Amino acid sequence: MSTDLYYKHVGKFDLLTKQQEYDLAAKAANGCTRSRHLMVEHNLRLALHIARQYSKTKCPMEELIAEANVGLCKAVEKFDHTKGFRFSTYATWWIKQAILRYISRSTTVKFASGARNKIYKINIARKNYYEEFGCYPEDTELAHLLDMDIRELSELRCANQWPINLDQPINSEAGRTYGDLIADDTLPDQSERLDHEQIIQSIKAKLTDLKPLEERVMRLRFGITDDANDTTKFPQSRSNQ
Amino acid sequence: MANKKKHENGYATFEDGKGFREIAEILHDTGETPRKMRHTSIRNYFLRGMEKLAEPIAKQSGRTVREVARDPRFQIAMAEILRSNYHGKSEIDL
Repeated sequence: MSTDLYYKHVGKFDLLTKQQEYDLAAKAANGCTRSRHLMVEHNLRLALHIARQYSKTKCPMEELIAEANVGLCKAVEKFDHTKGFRFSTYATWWIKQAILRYISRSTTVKFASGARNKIYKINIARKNYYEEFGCYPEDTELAHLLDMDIRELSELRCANQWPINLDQPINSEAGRTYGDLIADDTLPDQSERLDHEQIIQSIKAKLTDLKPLEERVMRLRFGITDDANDTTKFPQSRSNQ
Repeated sequence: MANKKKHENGYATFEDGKGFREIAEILHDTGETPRKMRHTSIRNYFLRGMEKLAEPIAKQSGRTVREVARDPRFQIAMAEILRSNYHGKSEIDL
């Protein structure tokens, strides 16, 4: 069933009155499967409404709706009509829990559900702050607002960065990819290489300052001749003069 | 007690290189020096030459010329440069 068809299907079920809800819940508690089905069907709109609130999480909407419905079924099973609350109040928490669990499972970086909830709270707080003041809060400010440890908050924010594909083109245009922007640590630094070359050139220039005996001693010391009696000199020193 | 800082205080040695005493003998035998020099004099000639070559490095590193010239790692690097220079190679990786 496509999403549009599903929306139309869900719209067919009217909301239950408090009395209808009480009666169905009482029957469902006694094991009536039909009543359970009716409770689920008449609250599908609630599940859909809550699932839509998480549409910006980059998870497929169909999956979010499915998870919300799983939470709804759980709420019907657990609902205690004798306490006097409306079903929607109770079911909202089960639906949210089911959706949040799904979101935490579906991300590339896995978090414990507690940490995921904290990240969600952090994001909501940042969003609210931005809407109110027009800028994002500092981590210290955010930690104070949420009554969290600054270190924990910073770690959660670092971990929450969304992974990107390195082969994905920048600005959705063909050409350079994100991977192209990463420096190759194995290659020597160009400025360092230039420095080395300059040093070598200046050292080679200094060879002309050597006295013949100094040069001869150095050559013998370094073993730069096949014959110890060979008195030829360094090509770039005295021989150049 | 073993010298644990040979790279700071020792001399670099080379596969085909000669000792200071040997060099003194070679120079005397070939008539390049009128009399046989002491090995310490040969070492001083060697270090004086190294100090001349060490000037550009000393300027960059902030160490004294004397320090750089006596550093065996510098001496090894110089040997490589001079060897490549002698054999006509141009690329050197310090």
